[in-house]
Amino acid sequence: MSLHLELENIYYRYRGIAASQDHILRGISFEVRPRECVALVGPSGSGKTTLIQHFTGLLKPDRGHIRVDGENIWSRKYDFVNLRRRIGLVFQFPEGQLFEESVEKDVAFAPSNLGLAQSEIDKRVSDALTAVGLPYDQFAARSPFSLSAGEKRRVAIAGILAMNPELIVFDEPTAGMDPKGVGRMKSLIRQLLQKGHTCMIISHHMDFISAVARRVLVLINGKLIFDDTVGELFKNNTVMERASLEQSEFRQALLRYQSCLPAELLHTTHWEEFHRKLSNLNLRQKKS
Amino acid sequence: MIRIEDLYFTYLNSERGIFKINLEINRNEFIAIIGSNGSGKTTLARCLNGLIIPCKGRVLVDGLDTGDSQEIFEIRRRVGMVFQNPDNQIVSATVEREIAFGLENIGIPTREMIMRVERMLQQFDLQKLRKKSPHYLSGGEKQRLALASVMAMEPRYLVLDEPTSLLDPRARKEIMQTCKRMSEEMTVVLITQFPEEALMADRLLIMHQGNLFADDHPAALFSRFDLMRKLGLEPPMQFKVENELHKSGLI
Repeated sequence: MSLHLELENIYYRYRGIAASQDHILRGISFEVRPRECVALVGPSGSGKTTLIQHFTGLLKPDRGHIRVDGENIWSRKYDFVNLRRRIGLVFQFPEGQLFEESVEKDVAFAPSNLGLAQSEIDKRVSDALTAVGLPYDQFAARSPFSLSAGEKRRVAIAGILAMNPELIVFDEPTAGMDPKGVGRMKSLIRQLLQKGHTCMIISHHMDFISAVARRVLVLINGKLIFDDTVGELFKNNTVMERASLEQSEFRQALLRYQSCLPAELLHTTHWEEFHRKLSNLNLRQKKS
Repeated sequence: MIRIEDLYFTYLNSERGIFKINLEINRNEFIAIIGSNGSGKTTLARCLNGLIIPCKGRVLVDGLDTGDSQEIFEIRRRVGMVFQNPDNQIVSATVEREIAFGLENIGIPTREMIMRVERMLQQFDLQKLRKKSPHYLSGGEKQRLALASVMAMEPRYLVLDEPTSLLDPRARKEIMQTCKRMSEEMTVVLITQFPEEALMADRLLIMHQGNLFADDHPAALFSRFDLMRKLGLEPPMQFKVENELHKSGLI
């Protein structure tokens, strides 16, 4: 798995009924390297969802180039079927896309269309369901419509994972999820990264982003204005302000106690890191 | 006042539902409801305006019974509802018509309607999008539109089912401030997964496995870390950080 995605100077404007005078994407360039986890943030309407639809050729840019492993995806006879197998998009509220009569069939839909052997399909379905924490034995035969909202979301994600895409793009994966669900989502993403997948996450949930992604891209009005680490973003007040962002709830809480914190705690970026360092600190103090 | 008496509801072929809930929601109260996915929050919300009719027990909105089909129109006029996924409630061809849609249905005179539409466009920062088809708005813009359309109807009770899940942090803050302000003249029932939002309410309900598990002041419930952990819920970050620092003797 070594998918390398590169966008160069992308411009896009909606046409027809959604026509806008201005471009919704204005000269966007960045690359996503294999095994990275990149967060994409920015105000509602800044072009995040429009941007990711370019990755698999669902939208065609007015200007600019999209290259996967160096090859322009809009060159003649480009293999889009293969591209869409290699890049999986998990859209907002993906549970709305479930349609089969059983969980198994729904997850198997994409791999079946890839022309894989039945044994391979079975294995992928079972692996994908395990990855999202829905044991095959308990869930495979059930109707997706009898599940809770959180479970439906996970079935929809399993459907994408079953294609075994190298790059997986999640659009607001934690919208409407309870704390347990958010925790599960974090471990799923970490697990995918460990297995060598590349992930991109659109989210407004700063605590979630800081826990899983190192690099963050900030989009406003169709322009990429920031590309650096989450830690740097939180320090950059100008970008935070311009992009309608807020510090994560964790950072806001931490900064209240700024004056009484040792430096190693003050610079932690998310709750788990803070908790770990605090435990170490307590341990050291006990020993001494 | 909305009065819920021995409410009981289960879905067909499912064990999920809500079981024997008694609750009074007072005028101009700001209530938050939290609970894990599948705990019955949305089901309870849908009972408040008669989208779901109880299997047993009853729901009375200012004395009107949601089980009485004669009253349902009046009940829905009083109890406005914003769903979690805005795609489930947007029907019109343009943003401004979407806001006018509900107003036309309840027979608001044209002049008044125009005023309210303008006000909502402004309040929810939708002026620039007014002529656009809602279908092409972003997730967060749709969520603002859904809120604007329901608030335009000036319901007495506003039921919001995770209305900010797709909003950027600043818009979320603004919507919450709007809720707080609105609660001075209407009842706001807010279902949320964000403890920081719930903290802004006057009263917090916790749903758990179809039951109303707790009903108290938000800060009082969120301080009970053992209870939160048991129910798989999170206190606001501020409480968590403070608790840890306190335990370690740093503050």
